[in-house]
Amino acid sequence: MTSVLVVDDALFMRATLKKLLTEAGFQVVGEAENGELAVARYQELHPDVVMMDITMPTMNGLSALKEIMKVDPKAAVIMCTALGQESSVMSALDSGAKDYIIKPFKSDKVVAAVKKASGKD
Amino acid sequence: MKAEFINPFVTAGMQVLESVIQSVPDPGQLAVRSATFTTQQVSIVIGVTGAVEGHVVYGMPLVTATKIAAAMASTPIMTFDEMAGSAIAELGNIVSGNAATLLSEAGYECEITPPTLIRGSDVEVSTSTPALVVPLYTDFGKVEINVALRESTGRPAPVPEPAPPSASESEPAPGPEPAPTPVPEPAPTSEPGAAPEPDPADSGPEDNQPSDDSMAKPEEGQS
Repeated sequence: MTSVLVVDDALFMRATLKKLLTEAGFQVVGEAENGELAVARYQELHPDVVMMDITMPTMNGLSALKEIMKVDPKAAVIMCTALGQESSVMSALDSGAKDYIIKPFKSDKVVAAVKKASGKD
Repeated sequence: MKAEFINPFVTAGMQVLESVIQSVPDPGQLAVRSATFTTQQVSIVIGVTGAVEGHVVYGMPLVTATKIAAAMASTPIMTFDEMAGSAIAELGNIVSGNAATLLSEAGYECEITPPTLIRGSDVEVSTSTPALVVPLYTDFGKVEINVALRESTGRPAPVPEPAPPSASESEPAPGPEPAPTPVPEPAPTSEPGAAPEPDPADSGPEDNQPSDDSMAKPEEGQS
């Protein structure tokens, strides 16, 4: 079963993603509310996939992505963002993100992105 | 403050609310609000930085916020709790993020800050610039979008300051906020495709009835 770490500063988004992913057959092994905690939890849990919000306090998603890639260059991180600017998305992809989805996202797109990122599609 | 700065937020607000509520909101009349104004029962404040700077405040009655949160969560919500507040904050985040994309496409590259949720009536907020406000009338009630943005001067925008608390509980609560002042008709602009200035409407208190006036029209090229 594909394990997923959900990272978002919004309690609502973490709960929504957790429900969506669980119903789709994935295992949500952990959550984090900012980038700093996301890096720590990644090192602790080594999930197959990370769902990473971009705009977060303390450490944003782009910075957390870079830290995780230092720890594990093969990490599969999907950026979840309300921002659709090409610059933000390109920065994430250039930094090693596997994919991105823009909020409000559709369930089928989330599931497809996780399957693709995990290499199990 | 340029009228073109509010159009992306109205466009994004209507799109996101329509997807959440499953019906198209009716935009009300554009008006100007002073730099210090009183929030509604539930407000989300989002900072904007970059080529434009300032703040956007989304305000709505508690009952509207509760209904929207329930729709977002696809579950009944009886009390506006932490989860409901998080849902509404995320609504502001999504609308603002989508609007920031539209601003960037119009040549104003900008970023948004994480949302701040304010609950409570008559909370006074001061922004760095007067706000343009558009009400969106939905099946769940009115949602106001207050956009207080200006082109960046290179200095960081100040954080909106809540008014200091009353010295004693016996002080009378502040009176209701006066209705926002409709903008008087300015001299015609020579810029082609510029958003029309708001109509000089009859002054009077706001009500919950949808207005027949059209929203601020997007500039050419904007979705």
